[in-house]
Amino acid sequence: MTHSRQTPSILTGLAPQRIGVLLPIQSHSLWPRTDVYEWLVEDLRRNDKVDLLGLVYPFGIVSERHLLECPETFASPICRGKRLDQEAALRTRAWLDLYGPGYERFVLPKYGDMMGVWSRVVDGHPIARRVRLVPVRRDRWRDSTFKLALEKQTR
Amino acid sequence: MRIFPDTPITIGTMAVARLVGIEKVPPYLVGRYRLQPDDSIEFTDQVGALQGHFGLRYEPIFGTWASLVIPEDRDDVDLLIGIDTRFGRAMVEAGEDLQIHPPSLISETTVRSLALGYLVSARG
Repeated sequence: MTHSRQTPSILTGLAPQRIGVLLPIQSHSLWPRTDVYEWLVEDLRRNDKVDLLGLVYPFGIVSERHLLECPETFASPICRGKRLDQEAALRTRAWLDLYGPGYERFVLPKYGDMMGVWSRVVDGHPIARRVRLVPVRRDRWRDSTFKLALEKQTR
Repeated sequence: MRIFPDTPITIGTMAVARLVGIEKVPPYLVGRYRLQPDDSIEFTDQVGALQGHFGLRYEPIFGTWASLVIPEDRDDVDLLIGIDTRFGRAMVEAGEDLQIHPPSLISETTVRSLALGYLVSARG
């Protein structure tokens, strides 16, 4: 599989510098401004290189600003299905192709509604080399070991 | 592959949205949906409460937005769904790379979510 459309950052003269931390928002146990979320990201917020992003089924990668400004769109439960898996994959891949070159690395928990879609999207894609998956126990976000592992991957 | 779904889309209990046209408004491609109310009196009440919010763009996700407008030539309400052409092109290319061929680039669910999100947001 080729990915010639993705412009290598070396050609644009811009070295990828940002670090994207992708948190699975759809589980609703994680949401910006909630206690557990803020506890988890408190040190990440102090890192100027880190962008906090949501991985939301079926909308793909969503900025934290969008989550906070438009929570109503993400509040309704959405039934999974092939059609929405497809849209989630296309949106995630499109985002990675357009904005991924600006990122040195993506860090995300190895858990969440989007994991299957994510695996399909990055499989064989150059960005896969820049992905760091951090193990987490199911929905156990308030876990110091996980928090430290997440921070370590963003240094 | 179509960009916008052309099947009737139920927007909550309020109306059904039907695609009536597609327009180029650079840098966007805009699908125009006519809202046909289930109950015209209730619909008029609900829409009337949105005065001041018509024409505003609601964009909770990358590359796609929604807006409610009143057409100049009719006393109706249209739902506009816009997609950034650059993002749309990237989605089409992603479909080719991943061998995914959905009936339309934007799903009915996304149109419904954007419309309902817009309405809830506008009601405050």
